[in-house]
Amino acid sequence: MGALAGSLSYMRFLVDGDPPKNPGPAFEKTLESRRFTPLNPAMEASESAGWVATEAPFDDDLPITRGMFLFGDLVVVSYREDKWAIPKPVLKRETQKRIQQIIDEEKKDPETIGKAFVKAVQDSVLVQLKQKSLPRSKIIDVVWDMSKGEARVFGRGTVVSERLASLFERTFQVRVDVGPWAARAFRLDLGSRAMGVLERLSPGWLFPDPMRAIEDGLDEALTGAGTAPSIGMPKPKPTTTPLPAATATAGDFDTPPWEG
Amino acid sequence: MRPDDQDKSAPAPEAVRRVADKLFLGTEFITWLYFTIVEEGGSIDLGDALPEAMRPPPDDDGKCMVLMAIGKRAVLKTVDTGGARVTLAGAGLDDNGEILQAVRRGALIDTMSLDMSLGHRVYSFSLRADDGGVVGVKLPDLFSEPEDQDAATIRDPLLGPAPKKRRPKLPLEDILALRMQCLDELEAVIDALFARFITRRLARAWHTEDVAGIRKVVARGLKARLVEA
Repeated sequence: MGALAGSLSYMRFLVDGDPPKNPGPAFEKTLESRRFTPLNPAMEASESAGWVATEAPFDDDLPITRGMFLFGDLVVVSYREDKWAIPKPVLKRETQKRIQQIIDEEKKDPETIGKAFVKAVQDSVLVQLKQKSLPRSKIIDVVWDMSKGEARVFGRGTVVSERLASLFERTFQVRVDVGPWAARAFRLDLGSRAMGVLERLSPGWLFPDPMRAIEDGLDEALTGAGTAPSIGMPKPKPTTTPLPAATATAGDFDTPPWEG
Repeated sequence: MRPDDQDKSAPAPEAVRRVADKLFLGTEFITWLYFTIVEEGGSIDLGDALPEAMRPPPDDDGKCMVLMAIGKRAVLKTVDTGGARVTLAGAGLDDNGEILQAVRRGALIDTMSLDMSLGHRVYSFSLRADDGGVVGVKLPDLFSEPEDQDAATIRDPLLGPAPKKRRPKLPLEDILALRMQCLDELEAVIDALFARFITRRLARAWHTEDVAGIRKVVARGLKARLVEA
């Protein structure tokens, strides 16, 4: 799913902020300070995250030099997140086995074993299990086009929208927005009047509920008024500038209200 | 309400609230796009909306048409508060009674797979309404010329399958440039379509033209199925 091979799945981030005039050395420094640090089985940390070179995401000792991340206006780096994934039942079973071994070897009374002792054994077992296994890695490529103010992030989910976005902001000193369609709409060059219409826009109803239509019809028949209170059904919000069908012409289609 | 029940958290910034209020534009856009492709027969004239370098070669009428087709997967989001989703998969989604019926009952399309052709370059991808993501993008063959593809089609079947061309091993920079150029092209079309949708959505004639057109397509499709039944 990465940027360099296979099919591509990505989210588009809107990047707000100007990159430095000389991005090579500046980003080299900030990327180095937030470079990925591999997990150590003896350490308590169960996960680690940071930047790696897209070309060699598993070369932990390789520094991220500007030749590896800067391609014209493109900044290309990868976010790597490693996590130990030791299943709890395995840890529990191995801990029990070790405690039993200690009891047998040292002829200890099981009644004298306290919680602190069990915890200490569990920690020691965890370190051994970590040494036997590899952490689970997640790599997400990021391609930031500085000229367009957009970044393509080749991944999805909370890892992308929260952790990666936060690291991106801290590293490059810019603000990023996960760019849903609504955010793009506000970035379009629409003019002030159209922007006003957009600000007030509410969800459109392709097919207003038939029950409401019946209610409206009944109410109209009884009172002669066109407006009826809805009973238990959500009433659609009025659209921005409704135009009666009789007065709408084909010309209206091509002439948005803000241009008139 | 108890006095200590009051929400004392800081309000979200204005820009965030503004965008959060308009998240419905995603599903509306993809639903509109579905009916636009169906109505325009898969041929969409984007005119000057595309940058000159990305325009497909003009057809006999001198129009730069982008060819689009509905793919094999669509996810519909129902209107109920539970946020239930219905996935339809298979061929023929451009003329599918289930979609018409669901839209008739208030559902909107949340994710839709599409095929797009710009000249000889063909893209397959899915558009998502919630986060604006583009999923499963299959890029055109970046390493063969159009005439190579033509030659492959007229190959004698008795000769067996054509030997696979080995892809040249390009440096990272070139691979990246080629792939990003393709994504630029794809996004230019998507953005042009979205800009067209927004222009129409904000126009007075949205209800009388676009919504009426969609209702007509739905009514016609459902009626045809009733007659068939």
